[in-house]
Amino acid sequence: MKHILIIISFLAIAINSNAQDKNYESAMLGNLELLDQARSQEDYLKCASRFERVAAAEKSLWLPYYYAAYSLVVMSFDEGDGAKKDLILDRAQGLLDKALVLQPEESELHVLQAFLYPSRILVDPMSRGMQYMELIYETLEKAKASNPENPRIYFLEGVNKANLPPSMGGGPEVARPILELALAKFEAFEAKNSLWPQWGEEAVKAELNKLH
Amino acid sequence: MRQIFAILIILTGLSAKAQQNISGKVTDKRGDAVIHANIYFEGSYDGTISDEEGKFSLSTDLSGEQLLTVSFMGYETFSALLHLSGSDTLMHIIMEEQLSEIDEVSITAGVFSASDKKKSATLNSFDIASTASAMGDIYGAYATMPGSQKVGEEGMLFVRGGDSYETKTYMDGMLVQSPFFSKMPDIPTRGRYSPLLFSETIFSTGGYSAEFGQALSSVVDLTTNGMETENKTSISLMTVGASASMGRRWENSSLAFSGLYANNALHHKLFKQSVDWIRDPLMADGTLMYRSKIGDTGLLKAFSSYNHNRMEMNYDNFEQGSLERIALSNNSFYANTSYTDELGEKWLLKGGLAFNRDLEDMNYVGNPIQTTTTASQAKLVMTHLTSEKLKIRMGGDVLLEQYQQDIHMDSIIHLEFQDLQPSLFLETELTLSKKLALRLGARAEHSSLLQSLELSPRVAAAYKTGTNSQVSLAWGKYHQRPQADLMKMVPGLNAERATHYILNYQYRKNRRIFRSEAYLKQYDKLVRYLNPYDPDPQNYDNKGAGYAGGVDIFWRDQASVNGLDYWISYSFLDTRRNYKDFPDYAVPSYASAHNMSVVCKYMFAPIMTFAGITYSYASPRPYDDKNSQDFMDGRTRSYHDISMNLTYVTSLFNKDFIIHMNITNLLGFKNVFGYTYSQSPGEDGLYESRAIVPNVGRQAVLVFLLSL
Repeated sequence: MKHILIIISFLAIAINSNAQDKNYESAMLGNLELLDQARSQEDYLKCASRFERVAAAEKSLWLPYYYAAYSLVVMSFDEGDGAKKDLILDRAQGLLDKALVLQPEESELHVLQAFLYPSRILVDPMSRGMQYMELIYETLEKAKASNPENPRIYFLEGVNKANLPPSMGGGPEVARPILELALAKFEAFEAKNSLWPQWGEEAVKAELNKLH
Repeated sequence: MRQIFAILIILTGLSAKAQQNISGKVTDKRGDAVIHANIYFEGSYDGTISDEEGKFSLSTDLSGEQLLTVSFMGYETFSALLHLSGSDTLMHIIMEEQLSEIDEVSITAGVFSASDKKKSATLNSFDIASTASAMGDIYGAYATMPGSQKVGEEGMLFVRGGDSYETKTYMDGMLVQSPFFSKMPDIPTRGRYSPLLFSETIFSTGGYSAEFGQALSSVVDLTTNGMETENKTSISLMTVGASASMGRRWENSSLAFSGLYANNALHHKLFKQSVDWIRDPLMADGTLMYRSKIGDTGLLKAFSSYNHNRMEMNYDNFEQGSLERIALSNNSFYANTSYTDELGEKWLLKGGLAFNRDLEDMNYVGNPIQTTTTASQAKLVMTHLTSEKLKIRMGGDVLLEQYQQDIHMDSIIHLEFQDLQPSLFLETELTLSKKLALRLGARAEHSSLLQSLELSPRVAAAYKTGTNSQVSLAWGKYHQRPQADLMKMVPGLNAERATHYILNYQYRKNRRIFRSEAYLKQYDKLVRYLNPYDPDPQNYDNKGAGYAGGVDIFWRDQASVNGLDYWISYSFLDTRRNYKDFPDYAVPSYASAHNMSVVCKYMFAPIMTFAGITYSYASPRPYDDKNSQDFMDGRTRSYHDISMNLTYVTSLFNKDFIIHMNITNLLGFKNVFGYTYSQSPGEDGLYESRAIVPNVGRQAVLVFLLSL
């Protein structure tokens, strides 16, 4: 009887912790599916809220913070009011900072940081442009130093170049090889697990099509 | 095994029974719905968001003590410990708005903040550098702000009826004793420092904090750039000279160097001068900035700058009826070191040392006049962040000013004085609510030369009248020791005084800002004398007084047209004073009743071209017509100026290359600043007059800049 009790308690713990893990993964996968289908600002905000809940429960994991911040950054690009855009980005930055404390060397987090800055620029391009462009390059270098195989680095670099006029060292001729490199890296990229960031590949193809 | 199975069924059955519903509404303090707030139990993934009416409904199978969390952008996160016992709960959650920089009430009376960092920026260093009429001069850009007067022959700031000496410049909190190049009569000067050296500049037209002393009317507060962000080098060639700058960045420190050489010789051949130059104006300067991070939070900034300018001309002194040969050579050194750090979570420390030595060699018709001014200052400011609602600032500084002048005439006249000014200030900033902020401060200052202690209380308040609007009020007492030119002859003078009253309304929304400010400034104890340069101290007193009142209006819009940024400022000024050698109360010659500036900037993004145009207007200025009985009853014609600039960004050898052109007085308006009169009347009994005009009409500068 004693043995059975011990077995039960172990089983219960095992079931419980297994359930917890499964619960995390399935919750995240469910949220990622919603994120995949998100189109409107409201959709992205809902996703961010969901990821934030997971983040609040799993304070030692960086991915929930990452996706919460990512959802907000994507949402911010559609916001027309500069003050509101800054408010959304302040929130996203707060979440991203928490993830960076957990995983300071994670390439994906630096990529997300470099993805956030352009939205800041859009609030006031004339006075913020120079300062944030420098920060973008700096952050992408950090991302490269941590993992040069991360395709999203080259995606952001390519898009930035494509949007800069040739007189400033940009233009389609400069952007194309970088975007092609990004595409090659995407094809070679192996996600570490099912929850790993996947975004960017379709956008690279779309951007390349625009250049052709 | 069957037993285990049974237990599991019981467990799940129990948990299924325990599900309960929490529903309700999320609002802000006013009762308005907070839409899309995130509502969940901490530690569980389940949650919901509030709907368009702020309503929510959340089912949970958790039990016992659980922390309910509600969060949303712009609000403080709400949390409450709930005991879940299975019965449904209805809640009304009231969220408190976060004090963000945008919404926070802040005292705006008198202040034009120009920051690259803050979202509340009204003008930043790029704005200053790109204002067409400013020609790259900080003070020139602030001359397009309401409250400043257009005084073309001076180039300094005249604020709200105040004379140019009533404006003081501070850099990183330390006084800059001689911020302008030495000047010749009727030739405008400019600031010594490039706007690109500063990340933040604040122009205060009155009601400023107790941290600043020795300024009756206005303060320009410059904050030097922080760490350089990257290694960069640039060189530029101009039609008036050349400059170079270099920045180097290491892990925890950075160094920046810039140098400029400017010579107007070519310019004077291209653009007709009304001045007979013997040696064309020449300027040279070098600036070195070192920054170092110390520990996690400390920052050391060291700034040093050396400036030289010289020129020589035949000055047509109409009053004396003589052509006077005047030569000027000025060497100025300024060093400023400051350190900021956090001491624990509650204290901020800021300390600084500054040293300024200015040597001016004037040769006036063969008579050398050598003037050396030295100012040394040490300052310490401590800020205590008592709570989110209360901030206490206190500090003190010691300023030592030494002045020496040798006038070589038939004999050598030696004049000198020394003044030690220790001072203390205390200021509290209280945020009474999200709508109401209060600033109370006082400053005590002693002068060894005047042998007096001055106490200056200062109060300001701001009240938010709506989401985008607020009203500010300021009142304060200000004092200033008379200028060195007076103190050297009459050590027994007293400080001049002013009292400021300011009422400000500001509306800001989506990068559009409207400000209007009404003010009254009362002057007292202004210095009077019988004649300028009168050597007899008996002929000087402190019995002058005056007032200045008016309204300043400012509108800036960066949102209506994509790529267009424009501002309009208008000032109305009513002022009279009795000071210097005035026989009675009169409007001083620099004061025009109406001043207006329209500044437009447009970015043609597809061709990487930036264009700016400014129009400036000032109503007629007073001058003393010697042929009339009354004092200062003459009026000049009104002042007009249209200036423009064009900047084209391209690349050369794969490097950024910028071509910049700046034209002032595009339409060649014939402006008149005033009149001088001959000393004795002609045969008809009338004094002959001559207009004081700008030394140049239309002029253009061309700059090529290459970034390496």
